Amino acid sequence: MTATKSSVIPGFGPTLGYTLFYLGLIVLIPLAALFFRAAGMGWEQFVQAAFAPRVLAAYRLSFGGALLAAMINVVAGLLVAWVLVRYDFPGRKFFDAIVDLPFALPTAVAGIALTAIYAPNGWVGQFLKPLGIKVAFTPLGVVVAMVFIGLPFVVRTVQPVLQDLEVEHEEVAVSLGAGRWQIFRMIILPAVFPALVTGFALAFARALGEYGSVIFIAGNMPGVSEIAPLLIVTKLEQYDYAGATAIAVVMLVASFILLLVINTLQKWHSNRLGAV
Amino acid sequence: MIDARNVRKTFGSFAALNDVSLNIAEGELVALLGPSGSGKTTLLRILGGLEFPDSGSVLFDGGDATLVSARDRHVGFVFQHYALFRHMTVFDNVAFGLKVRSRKERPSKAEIAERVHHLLSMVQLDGLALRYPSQLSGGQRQRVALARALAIQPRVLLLDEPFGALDAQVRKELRRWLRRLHDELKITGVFVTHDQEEALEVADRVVVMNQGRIEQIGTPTEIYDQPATPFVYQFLGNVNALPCRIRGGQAEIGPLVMPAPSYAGVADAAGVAFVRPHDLLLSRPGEGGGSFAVVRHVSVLGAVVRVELSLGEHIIEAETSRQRHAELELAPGQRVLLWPRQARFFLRDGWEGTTLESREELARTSAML
Amino acid sequence: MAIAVEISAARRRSRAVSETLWVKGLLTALGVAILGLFLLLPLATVFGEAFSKGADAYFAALVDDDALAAIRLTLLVAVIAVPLNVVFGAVASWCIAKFDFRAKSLLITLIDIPFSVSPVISGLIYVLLFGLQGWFGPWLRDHDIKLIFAVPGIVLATVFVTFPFVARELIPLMESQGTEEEEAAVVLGASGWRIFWTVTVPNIKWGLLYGVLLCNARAMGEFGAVSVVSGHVRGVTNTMPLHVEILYNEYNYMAAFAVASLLALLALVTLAAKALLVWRFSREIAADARQ
Repeated sequence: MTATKSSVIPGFGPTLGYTLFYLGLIVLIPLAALFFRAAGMGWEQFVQAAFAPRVLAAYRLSFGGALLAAMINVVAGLLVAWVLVRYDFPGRKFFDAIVDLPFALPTAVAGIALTAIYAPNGWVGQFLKPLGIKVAFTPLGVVVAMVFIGLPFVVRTVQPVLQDLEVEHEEVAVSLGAGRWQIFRMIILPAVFPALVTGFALAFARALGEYGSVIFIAGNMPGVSEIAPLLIVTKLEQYDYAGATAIAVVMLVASFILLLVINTLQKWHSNRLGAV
Repeated sequence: MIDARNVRKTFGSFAALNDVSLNIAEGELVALLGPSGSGKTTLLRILGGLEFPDSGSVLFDGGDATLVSARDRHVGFVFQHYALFRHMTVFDNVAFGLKVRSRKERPSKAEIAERVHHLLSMVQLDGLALRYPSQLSGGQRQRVALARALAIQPRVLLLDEPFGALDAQVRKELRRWLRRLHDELKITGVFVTHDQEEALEVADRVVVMNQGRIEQIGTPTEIYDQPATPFVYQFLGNVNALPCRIRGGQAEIGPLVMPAPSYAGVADAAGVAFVRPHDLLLSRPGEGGGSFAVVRHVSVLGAVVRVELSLGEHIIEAETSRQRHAELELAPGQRVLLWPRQARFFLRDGWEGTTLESREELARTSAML
Repeated sequence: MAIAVEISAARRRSRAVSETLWVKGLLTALGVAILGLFLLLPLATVFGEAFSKGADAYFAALVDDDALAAIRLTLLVAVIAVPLNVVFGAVASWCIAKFDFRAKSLLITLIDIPFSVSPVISGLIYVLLFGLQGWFGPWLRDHDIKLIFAVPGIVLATVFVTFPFVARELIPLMESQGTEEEEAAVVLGASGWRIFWTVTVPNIKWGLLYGVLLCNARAMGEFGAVSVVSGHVRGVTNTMPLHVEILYNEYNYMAAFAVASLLALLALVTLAAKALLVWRFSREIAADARQ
C-alpha cells in the first residue's frame, strides 16, 4: 500500500507497517483463531453448543436485558443531557463530570457496590423489599447493572448535539405559533434523534458484552439470571473449550453487526444533515 | 400600528436599549440602521416578543403587547441565517406555522398545501417544495425563510439583517425583490441592517441607532441630507469632520470663514464642521470664492475624482466630476479655491445624544482626514 | 468583547424559548435523581462499606499480604500495557492523520474492534491460542513457557482491552490539526523524528495525556478479560479487581470494599484529571481563537 497523495512528511512506510503488525498480532490473529476454532468444530457440534436450551436462555437474558437497559438509557440519558446543557443549577459542573463514572470505575467495583445497594438488606433494597420488588439476584438486577454502564454512552452522544442546537430554530418556531411541547417534538427531537439512536446502539452493545458489573448482582441462576458472557466463563472453567468458543462466536458476530449498524448510523446522521 | 414607548433593556451591566420610542405606521417598511452593539437587533427582538423590555411598553394596534409571547403575537420573524428546519423539506418548513395551530384553527391539509404552494410561487420557488434546506442556495434559503414567515399571515414582518449572509450580487437582486414584494403585499415591515445603502434603497423610513439610542428617524433623503447628529453624519456616507471655532454666528475652519446663523448667540466655542466631499466646490484662483487650498493627491475613481487637499493645517477630501477635473487640470502642489456648498456645525460641548466613544471616533477620523 | 460575550450568554435562552420554572425544576430534580441514584450512590457505597468497621480495619485490609501482592501485580500490568499502547497510539495516529491512503476508514474500524468485544471473549481468544488445549499450548508446554494462568497472559489480555484508547484520542485530534506545521518543518530541514517530538507532540500533549489516563484506568480496573486468563492464584496472578472478587465471594465484604475503594479512588482521580484537562483545553482553544 502506498500513500495515494504524495506527501513530503516522512515515515509513512514504517508507521503503517508497525500499525498493521501490532494490530495483527494483538487483535486480528487472536480473533481469527476464535473463528478457525469454531470452523473446526463442524456444523452440528457448533449448533448443539451454541443453541442449547441453557445457552438460549442466556442469550435471551443478555439481549433482552441489554435492549431494555438501552431503552431506559435513551430516556434517562436524554433527560440528563437536557438538564446538563440547558439548565443552570448548583453543582452542574460536578454532575457533568460524574457522568463518566461508569467509564472510569472498574466494573467489579461497580458490581459489588450495586449488589450492596440493591440486596434485600441493602441501602435501597430494604425499601423495595416491602413493596415486593426484588432487584439483586434477579433479571431485574441485571438490567440495573446494564443501565449503570450504558448511561454515559447516551448522555455523551446526545450532549454535543443539544449544545449545538441553534436557539434561532426554537425562536422561529415560537414566532410561528408553536408551543413548548410542539417545539420539543417537532424541532428538537428530530434533531437529536440520530444521536439518540447512536447512543442507544452503543449502550446496547456495551451492555451485551458486559461481565464484571453484572455477575455480582445477577445471582447467576442457570436459565434465569445467567448472562451469556458468564456462560462462556463457566464453560471454560469446565474445560469445555468448544462450548465456550461457540457462544463467543455468536456474541462476537452480534457485536460486529452492531458495530456495522453504528457506523452506518453515524454516516447517515452526518450525511443527512448537511450544514445549513 | 406598532408603538414602542420608552423601551429599556439591559444585559448584565450593558445597556442595549436606553429609552427608545418608535412609531411605525401601517404598511410602512422601516429600516433599523446602526453599527453592531447599537441595540437595533435587541429592539427588533423586543418587537417580535423574543425578548422582553426591562421597562417601557410595546403596543400593537393600540393594544398593550409588551408581555404577549412571541407565540401569540402573530409576527413573522426572519433570522439572519434563516434558521430553516434542516430536517424538514421546504414544504414542511413553510407549512410549520399552520400545522402547529390548535385543531380548531388549523386549516385542512388541502388548504395548507394550497397556501404553501401559493407562497412558494410568490417567492419564485415553485418546484422546490420537496428539497431540503441543505440543497438550496443562499438566496433560495432566504426566500424560504420569508415564505415561512408569511405563511401565518403576520401582522408585521420582522427581518434581522435579511441580506447579511448573501454575496453582493444576490444581495442587490433580493433587495429590489423585497421592495417589490412589500409594495404588492402592503405588509408592515421592519428590518435591521448595518448597511446604509441597503437602508436608504429599500426603506420608507430609516431609524438610525447608536449605543442603545435612536439618533434620528426620517426618510432616506432626510437622513442623508439633514443628519441630525454628528453620529448620523459619520455613519451615512463620506464626510469631512473638521475642528472649527464658532464665534458670533460664524464658523472658522482655518482660514475659511462660513456663516453659522444658528449659533449667533455663541460668543466663542470649539466646534466641528461636517462637510460632504461632494459639497466642496473647487475653482481656479480668480474664478470663484472661498479659501486657498493646496492639492496633495488626486485619484480618479471611475466617474468621480477624489481630491485630497490641505487647508491650513487641515486635510480635506473633495469629490468632483471628471469634467471639472479636466477643466481645472488638477495636479499635486496646485493651489485651488475651495468653498463648501453646504456644511453643518456642532459645538464640541453638549452634543445631544452623542457619547464619549463617538467623540473619540470623531477625533480619530478628523485626525485621519 | 467581554460585553458581546455577556449579551450572547444572556441571549442564549431568553424567556421566550424556555420552559416554565416548575417544569425546569422538575426536570432538573429528575436528572439529578438519576445521576445520584445510579452513579453517586454506588460510589458512596464503596467508601461507606470500606470504612464500615473503622479506619483501623480498613488499613489492615489494605496491608494484607495478598492485597499488597494484588496491588503490585496491577501496577506491573499497567506499567507494561500502557506504554505499549501509547507507542502504538502515537504511531497509528501519525500514520492515519498525516497521510492519505486507501482503506483508511477500514483501518480505523479495525483499531476500534476491542471496544466492541465482550471482555470475556477478549480473554478467551488468548486461552484458545496459548492455553493447554490451544494452538500453541503443546509447544509452549514442551518449552516450559507459561502464558495463560500466568502474568504474561494477564498483560496480553489487558493490552487487548486497552488497545484503542490512546489511538482513539489522538486520531481525531491530529486530523483536526492538519499537516501544515509538519510540512513547514520538513521544508526547514527537520528529520521525521525531530518533527514528531518538537512539532507534533506539543500540539497533542493534552489529548495524549487524556488518552493515557483512560488507558491506565481501564488497564488497572479490567476484570472480565483478566479473570479468564488469570487462574486466580492468590498472591501470584490476582490483580486488584480479581482480589476484590475473591474477598467478596468469601463474604469478607469489608476487605473487598477496602480494596475496591482504592480502585474507586483511581476512577475519581481520572475523572478529576479529565475535568482539569477539559478546562485547560478550552482555555487553549480560546487562546487559539483569539490569535
